[in-house]
Amino acid sequence: MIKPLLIGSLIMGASTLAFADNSGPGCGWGSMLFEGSSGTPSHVVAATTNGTSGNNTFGMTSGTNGCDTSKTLDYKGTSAVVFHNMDRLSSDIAKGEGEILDTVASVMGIESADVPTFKRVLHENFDTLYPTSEVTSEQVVNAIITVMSKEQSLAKYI
Amino acid sequence: MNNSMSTACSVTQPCIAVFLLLILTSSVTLASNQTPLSTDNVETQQQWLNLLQFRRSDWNNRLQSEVDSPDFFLSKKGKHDPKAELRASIEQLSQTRSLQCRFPARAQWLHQQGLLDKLDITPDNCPDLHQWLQQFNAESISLIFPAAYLNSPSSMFGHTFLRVNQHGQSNNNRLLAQTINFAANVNHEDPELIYAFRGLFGGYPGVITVKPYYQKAKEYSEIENRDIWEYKLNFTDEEIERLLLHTWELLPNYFDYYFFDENCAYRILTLLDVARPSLHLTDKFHTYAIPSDTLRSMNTSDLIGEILYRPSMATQLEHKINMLPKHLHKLTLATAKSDSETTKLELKNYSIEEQAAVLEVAFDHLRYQAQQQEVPRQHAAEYSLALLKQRSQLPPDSPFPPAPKPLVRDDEGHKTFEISISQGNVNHKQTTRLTLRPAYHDLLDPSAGYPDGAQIKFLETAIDYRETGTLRVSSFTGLNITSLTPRNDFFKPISWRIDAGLYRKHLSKTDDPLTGTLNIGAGHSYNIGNQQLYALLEVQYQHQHRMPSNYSANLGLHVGWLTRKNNWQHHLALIHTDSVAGYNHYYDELSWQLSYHLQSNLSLTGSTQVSHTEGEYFHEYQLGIEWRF
Repeated sequence: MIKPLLIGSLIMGASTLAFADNSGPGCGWGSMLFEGSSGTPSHVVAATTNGTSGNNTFGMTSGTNGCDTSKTLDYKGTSAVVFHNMDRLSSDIAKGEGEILDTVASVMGIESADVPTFKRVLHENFDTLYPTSEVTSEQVVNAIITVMSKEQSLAKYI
Repeated sequence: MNNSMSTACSVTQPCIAVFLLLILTSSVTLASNQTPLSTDNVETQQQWLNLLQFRRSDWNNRLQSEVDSPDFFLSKKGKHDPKAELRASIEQLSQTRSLQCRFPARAQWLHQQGLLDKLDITPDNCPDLHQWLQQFNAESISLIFPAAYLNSPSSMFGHTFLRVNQHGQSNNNRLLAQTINFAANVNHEDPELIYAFRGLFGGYPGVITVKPYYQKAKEYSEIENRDIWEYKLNFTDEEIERLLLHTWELLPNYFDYYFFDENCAYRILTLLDVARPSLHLTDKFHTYAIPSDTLRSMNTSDLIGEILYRPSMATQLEHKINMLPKHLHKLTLATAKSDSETTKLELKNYSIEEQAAVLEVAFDHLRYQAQQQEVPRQHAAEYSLALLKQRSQLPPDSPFPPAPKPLVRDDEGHKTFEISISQGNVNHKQTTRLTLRPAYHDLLDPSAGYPDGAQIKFLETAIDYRETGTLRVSSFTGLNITSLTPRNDFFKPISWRIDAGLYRKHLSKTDDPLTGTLNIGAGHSYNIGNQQLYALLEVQYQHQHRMPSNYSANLGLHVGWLTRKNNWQHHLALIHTDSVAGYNHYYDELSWQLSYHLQSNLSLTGSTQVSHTEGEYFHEYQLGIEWRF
């Protein structure tokens, strides 16, 4: 029953669904913050097909957007999680709680007893982790590792 | 996958005639019984057909596989001949053991049927398969359904995919689980127009993809701002294994995305049928399946267990704004806007908790605005970081609890096919009206489970039987999409509507021919309590050869008032348009509609309408009953 929707989509031309900006340079925190808005015909496709991907996904595997993380150390998958959730992780750390922070703790293998410390330490070191809006996910991961290494109960997870 | 990205899920087509044909023909069911298998009765063996993704064509009733890559078949005739494929499978899978690693679900099933002597799909024999299986660490399967989002009526058609829950997974780390999706493998190197065309009309192959849930959840809940429902499915370990083994078989293959093909919700159902053949889920649908309908069909089985809700970023922001004390709204908007010292100083007057609340909402709001391109990104990026820094200097823990689960899910809303019968008077003639609406939702239908202020109607056809004994089509709505999203201090959406169809137009007292009509309107909408008001600037183009100049183009204003209270809903609308080009005439219309919902799928309705054009008045009223199924 979905077919005639196209007519509407073509006429509408606009949609709240959107693609990430493929032309966006760099992969600093700032450029990854607002994924998902621009306006080209492809958005009509996105609107009618109900499936989109941010260019992060694409860039990550192909390296075309300069955000190739395949060469960086992965820390059991942490880099990928941080890379794909740059904005939410920063806002979780700023308030010391949140799903992405829990997910990062999980992927790093942090035991539940140490999770509150992990969250607190990251929250307290927000400025170190996010010095500028140009910080990359790789730098954030490295800074997390450094901050953890200075905390006795967290050093063992590195 | 290089230079390509899995994007599209289902392709939509404007195939009205075909659509009508489809709804008139009934579903073709593949028979199934439990007689012992031989190559003679293979066509009656549902699971063998499931494993080959066979289905009867809606066009010519021929049985064929929906997989389009030749590599999926061991017989050259495999795509059309399940018997030949069975013979070839038995022969080749027993001769070439390594081939069992490529088709483990097939091999397993043939072994269970006693047609394959030795089954060897162990890690030793099939290291690649087991490495792939290992990434899932599968404990259970959830069906993931991103719900419709306000101001995007097209999202009502949704998408579904599967998540493979890991052993030891908790609600805190379910983002790490892997998902199984069906998507079109599009090529971004294509010129944009070709890309759009192929995406819509087919030409990109459909493939199965596996991605972590944090990537998929982000696409829907952060980029598209859609809430997500997660339905845990009560599959046994054996059924989960079968589903994964079959997914593995499908991975390197593609399904052509032709003009008329199957969508993602349907594709996902085929996987569930392989896992548990007794479900027969695909039998209930044609190649196109509305995801919320597929969920309704599953709800009738005992397949669905725990249901979790994941609010989108926009839903969370809305919830936070609702919780934020009114006296902080102005300060929050000012904080989101600019880094002024006076705002910072003013913020210091409030409690730590209030400061945290203001900063969190300000950040989320700025992020939302930047995403909607309401503020420049460069500024937004730097200033957002400043807001986060300020927030990080306050003690941890958000003052906001998570957004609550809606009382009614998308799949619990009313059903989508509607028939109504009404009796009334049209221009002093007693009239009985039969209306058929194949899809989907009207502003006056029960709003539970649907976005407020949204309407999508396809192919709504009204037929009048008049006291003169004549039968005629009184209206035909090809497509009507209305999106009335209220504006407030924080959200500034545009409300709009589009209506294309054939409507009766009064050219004289006795002549009201069906007239091709296109209305497009845009404007604003506001909520006052549970009353919704809207005003749209509207253009109307009409074509009818009996009309002077053959066409008319009018411009005008369309205002309305909607109320939803308990089981009652009403809609009062006033339209005034005047000529810009073509047939020179004005048109005024005042209409009032009322509905009372006896149940979510049964409503009583009343409507009255007065229109005024070229000095003449026309009246109409109707009382009726609507049934949705």
